[in-house]
Amino acid sequence: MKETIETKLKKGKKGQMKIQEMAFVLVAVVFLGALLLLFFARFQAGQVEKTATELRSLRTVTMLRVISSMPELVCKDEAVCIDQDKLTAFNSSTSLQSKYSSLWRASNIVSIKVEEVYPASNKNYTIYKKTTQENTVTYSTFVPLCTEARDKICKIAKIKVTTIMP
Amino acid sequence: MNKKAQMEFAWIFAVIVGAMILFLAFYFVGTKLLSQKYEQATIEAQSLDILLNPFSQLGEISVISQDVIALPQRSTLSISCDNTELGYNEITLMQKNTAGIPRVVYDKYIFAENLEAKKFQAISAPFEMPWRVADVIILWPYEKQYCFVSAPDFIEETLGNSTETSLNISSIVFTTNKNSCPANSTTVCFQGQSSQSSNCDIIVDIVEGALNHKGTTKKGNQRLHFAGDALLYASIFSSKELYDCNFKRLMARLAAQSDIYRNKAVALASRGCSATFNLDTLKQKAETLSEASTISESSVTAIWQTAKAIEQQNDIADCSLY
Repeated sequence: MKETIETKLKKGKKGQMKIQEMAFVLVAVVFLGALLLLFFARFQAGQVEKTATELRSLRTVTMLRVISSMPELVCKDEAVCIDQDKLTAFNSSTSLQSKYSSLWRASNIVSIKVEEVYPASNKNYTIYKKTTQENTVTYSTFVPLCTEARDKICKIAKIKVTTIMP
Repeated sequence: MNKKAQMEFAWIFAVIVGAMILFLAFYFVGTKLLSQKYEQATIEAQSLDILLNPFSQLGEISVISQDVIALPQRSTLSISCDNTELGYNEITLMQKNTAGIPRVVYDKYIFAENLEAKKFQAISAPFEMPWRVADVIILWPYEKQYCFVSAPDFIEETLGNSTETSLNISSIVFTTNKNSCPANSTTVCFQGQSSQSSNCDIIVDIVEGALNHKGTTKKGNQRLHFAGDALLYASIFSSKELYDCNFKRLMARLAAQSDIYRNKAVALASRGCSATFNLDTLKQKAETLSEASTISESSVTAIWQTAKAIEQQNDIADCSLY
């Protein structure tokens, strides 16, 4: 009788051990699964971020051309050329800058500047400027900057578009 | 008894953990599939915006241009509009009943009806009043056919294939007889030229002469008043709500541009050019139209006349403004 109780107790302990083992294995499986899902989600988020960066840089590069051919800035009879008189109007009028700010904000643009490059000059024009604490990247291209009256006088300028990095 | 209890515990534990695993798996796969569709629709709306960029600022490169835009899969394209200040259009792509994040575009004027297609026909035309205010983009499904009955020569020369520079848009058929229109096509009758306007889906009434290409497009009970070729085409392919809203946006843009041109006129005068332009009148009329609740024929005629007057002043000026 004593032996039977001891055997039963031993078997009971063995059974408990098996249940504990199974419990640990199942917990480990769930934990591992969750980890894998987390890694996968992180990888996917990275891919989305990469696509966002590509789309944003593509948009900013196209914006360089779009800005220099905007009716508000473009010279007459030219496709990509900035009229200095129109640019001066933008540079000197904060109300104009703020009126057009919605156009740039949507593209995550923080500043649009035009620098006279040739003949050498320190003259800068601001079309739009916004302060930001975020990381930014600047794209630029050369563009003719012309003054029109009876004759057309042109300089070479650089248009710089700074955008927030995603 | 103990063994029986241990077995029951093992079963309950296995069922709970198994259910958790299954729930997590289904939840993750479901969320992933949904977010993938959402992500795809969002990326394509962004891409569509980028694809439309070359259309929105043609400058002096081209008077009017066309292209076909193909999306990776059939999508419902929804364009909405807000005309607060300079306003914006909102592009939403819906794929397999999942709508992506709307893409807000401030620099484009998209005229369309809500459309579902894989390929879209796009044309871009400069809106001039009297200078180029912006380029308008007109979209419709590539497979949708339009039948232009007795269209004036300038329309056939622009959209048809009668000259070398014509856009040759395959989804527009030109005919002089409404009965020869393809079945299921949308008939567009030009009233000034045709007596067959009854039972046409769209009737375009063009007033020609001194105020070239101004008029009204009738779609059922709706009236869309236009001035200039770009808005003529836009009124045919666009819904009334989107047309009116984008028209007001264009007027707000014109009012802002009037300030820039006024500064330019002052700069030209300082360089010895004599030039007088009614820019303040144009600005005031554009502002009134941009804030109007409805666009009346008389107000469109009034701003068109002011624009024509500035055009004449520009033609005779020492140094032209635009």
